Amino acid sequence: MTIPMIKTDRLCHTYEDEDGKVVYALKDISLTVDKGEFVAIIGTNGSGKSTLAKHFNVLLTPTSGTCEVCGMRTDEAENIWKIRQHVGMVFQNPDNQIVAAIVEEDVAFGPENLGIPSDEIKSRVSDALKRVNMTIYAKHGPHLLSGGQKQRIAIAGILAMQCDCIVLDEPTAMLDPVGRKEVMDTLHQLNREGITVIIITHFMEEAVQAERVVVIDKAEVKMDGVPRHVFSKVKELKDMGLDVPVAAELAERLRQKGIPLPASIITEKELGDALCQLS
Amino acid sequence: MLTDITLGQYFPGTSFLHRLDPRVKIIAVMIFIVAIFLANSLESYGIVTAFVALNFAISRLPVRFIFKSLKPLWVIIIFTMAVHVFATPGEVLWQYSVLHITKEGLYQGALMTARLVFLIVFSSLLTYTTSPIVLTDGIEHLLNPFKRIGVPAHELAMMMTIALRFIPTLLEETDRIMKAQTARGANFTSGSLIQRGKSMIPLLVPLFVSAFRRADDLATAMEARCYRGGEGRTRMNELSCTYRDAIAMAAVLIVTALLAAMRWL
Repeated sequence: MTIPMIKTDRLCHTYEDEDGKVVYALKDISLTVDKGEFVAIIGTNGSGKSTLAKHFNVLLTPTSGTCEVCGMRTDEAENIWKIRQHVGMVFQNPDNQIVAAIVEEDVAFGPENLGIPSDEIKSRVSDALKRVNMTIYAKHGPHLLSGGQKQRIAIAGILAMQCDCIVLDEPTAMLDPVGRKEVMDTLHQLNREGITVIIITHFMEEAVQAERVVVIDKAEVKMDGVPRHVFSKVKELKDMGLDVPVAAELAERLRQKGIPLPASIITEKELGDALCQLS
Repeated sequence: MLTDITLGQYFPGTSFLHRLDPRVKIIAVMIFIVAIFLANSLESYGIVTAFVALNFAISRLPVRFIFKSLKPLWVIIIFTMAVHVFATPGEVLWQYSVLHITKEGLYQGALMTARLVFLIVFSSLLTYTTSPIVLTDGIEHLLNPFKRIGVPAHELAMMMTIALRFIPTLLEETDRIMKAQTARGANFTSGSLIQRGKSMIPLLVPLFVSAFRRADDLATAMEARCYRGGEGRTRMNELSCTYRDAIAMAAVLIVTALLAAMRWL
C-alpha cells in the first residue's frame, strides 16, 4: 500500500470569536489525496478552504484530529521542515511572496534555506525556471513581471525545493485571463510530470480542469468527486452560494425547459456537441 | 544583465570595477579613504588625483557622473572651502573689513576641497559600479565575523534585500492610492506646506496598513519556504575572489603605502 500524499482524519480547527464562543473553521474533515492527483477545492469565502490548505503545509495545526503528509503527522514539531520540503505553497497575492529582488535569487530562496550546496542550487534553479517556462526572465526584477509570470516564479521556487506536492491558495484570483491560463497550463504540465496539485479556486472553469473536486461549505466537506459528478448538482451548489461552470448552468436551464440533455455536461464543447446531436 | 533595476545609483556595466568582488571593493574604498587623509603635499595630491582618475576611467562611467555624485554635497564643499580661505591666518592678499584672504588660506582651501571631492567621487564609484543587491551581499559577508559580538549580519542583509525588493512595489502602491484619493477630490499638489503635509495623511495611512499586510503575508510565505534565519543557510551565488580582486587590492595598498611614505619619510 502506498502512503497517501495528504491524509486528514476528522481534522477540526477551532478558534474563539470576540465573545469567547468557539467557532469551527474546519469540522471533521477526513480527506485523502493520493500522489499525482489534481484536486480542486472550492467553497465560498469563509468556508474554511484556505484554513485547510494551511494545514497541509503546517502553517496551522489541527485543534483535534490529525493531518498527515507523506505519513508524517503535522502536529509533531520535528516533522515541520520535512513536510515543508514535500508540500510547497503558493499564495494569492503574487507580490507578497517574492522575497528577492532578482527572479533567480527568489527561486533559489527555498533551496538556500535548506542548506543545499551552491552548485546544486544553480542547477535546480535553472531547471525549475525551465519547467515553468521563465528561463529568459532569470535576471529580471520581479516587479517588471506580470501577475501570471510572478505566480510561475513562485511555483518555480517550490520546484527548486523539489517538493512533490503544490498547494495553491487562490493563485489566480488577482490575475487577468491570460495570466490565469498561464498558471493553469503550468500546473497541468507539472501534474503530468507527477506532481500532486491541490488548487483552491473561485473559478469553476479551473475546477472543471481538475481530476477531482472537493466542495467545502461551512467548515465541512459537502461533496467530493469527479468534476462531472459534482457540477451536475447545480441546485446544491447554488444553494451553497457557489457558481457552476457556464456550460453546466446553461444545460441545466435547457433541461428545465424540457430539452433532453445529459446531466454530465460541464464544458462548452460538450454542450455544443450535445446540442448538435439533438437536431 | 540587471539593466532594468534602477534602484540606487547603480550604473550597469561590465568593467573591471564592476566585476570586482563587493567585499574587496568595500574594503578598498575604506583603505583609500584613510589614504586620502594621509596626503598633505602637492605631490601626494597628484598621486591621489591620478589614482582616482584612473579608477574612473577604468569604470567607463560617463564623466557627468563625477558632477552627479558631487551635486548633493556642493553646499558642504563650498562651505569647507570658504572656511579655509577666509579663516586661515597668514600672508594677507586681499582684505575687506573683517574678511581677509590669505595665501595659506587659498592653498589650504584648495587642498581641503580637493580632499573632499576625491573622497566623494571615489566612494561613489562603489555605489555606481555595484548593484544594491551585490552590495548587500558584500556587507553581509563582511559583517559575518562580527556575529560573535552580537551583530545580526544575516538579519540586516535580509532586511536590506526585502527593502530593495519592495521599494518598487510600494512606489506603485503609493501611486495607486494617490490616484484613488485624487479621484475622490484630494489635493496633493497645491496649498501651503502645512496643508500639503496634512494631505499626505490619507496617503500614508493606507500605505502603512498595506505594508503591514504585505509584511505579514511575506512572513508566512517565507516560513512556508523553510526560512529559519541565517543558521545553516547556503547561498546560490557564493562570493569568490579572483586574480582581479588581488590586483585591485594590491593597487590600493601600493598607493596607500606610497602616500604614507611621502607623509612620514
